[in-house]
Amino acid sequence: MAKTRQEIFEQVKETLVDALGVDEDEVTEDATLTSDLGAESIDFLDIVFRLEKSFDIKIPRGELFPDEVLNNPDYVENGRVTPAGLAKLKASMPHADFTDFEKDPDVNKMPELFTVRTIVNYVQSKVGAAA
Amino acid sequence: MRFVLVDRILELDPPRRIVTCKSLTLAEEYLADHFPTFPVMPGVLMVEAMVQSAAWLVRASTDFAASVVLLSEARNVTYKSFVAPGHVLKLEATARRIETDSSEFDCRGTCDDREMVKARLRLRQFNLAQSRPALRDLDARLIDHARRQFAMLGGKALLESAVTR
Repeated sequence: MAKTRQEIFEQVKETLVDALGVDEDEVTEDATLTSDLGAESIDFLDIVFRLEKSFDIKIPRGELFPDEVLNNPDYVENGRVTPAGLAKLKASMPHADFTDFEKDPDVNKMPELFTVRTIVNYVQSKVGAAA
Repeated sequence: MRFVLVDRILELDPPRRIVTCKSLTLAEEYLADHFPTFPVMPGVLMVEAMVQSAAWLVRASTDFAASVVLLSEARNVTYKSFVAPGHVLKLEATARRIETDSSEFDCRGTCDDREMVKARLRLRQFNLAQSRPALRDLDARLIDHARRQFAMLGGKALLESAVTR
């Protein structure tokens, strides 16, 4: 049975509360994983694992949180994401919003791309949702 | 890797407060993967540096009574920014309480006066002989090792200069 977006959001919220130890009311769609919810790199691994278990989906490496941009020198130069890197990010993350990041593609700010909405959009694309 | 994340003890006021530092160098192996194009200190190691700083305060305040000092809980861990190689992370731990088998601290890490990380940490302390009497000698060796490392980090000199003041 297909889940509604709201149901997916509630289930993602539960996953993040378990993974990050935050309160439920801190997990809003706009909340960034790093600045608002205090996630750091090891938490990203944990979140992927928990989402796989919770939604019974497979999340291939780099599909939810693309790490190739941080691993490939073609994509980052002088602490900024190159146009090639930006293109790669956009292609890998159709579920994210790049408007702010594009204005200042500082690699230090890349974690701000990962909001709760990013995750809900991604899960929705994997499980399919009723309106 | 040698899991020593405190380079020097800068200030020591047992049982209240300790200030230490950890310099980040590009030579640290884990930076090769974290991340290849963007080396930054992993958040969990920033927490470990805070744990080790608090542990030195425990040892200095209890005359090295416990051979083992471990993290038992990290709460409200907040990360503000990344620490890049070439920078020094300054760690401060302020004790809320230090008891025989547990202690609690408010800790923060700063870099050039900018806050990078903070957390409330609970540590637990014990000797191995408490559950296995045959390990008494190992406790003694661990404590001796800790005392020597404390001296190497400058802690012993700080305590001695405080006494003579």
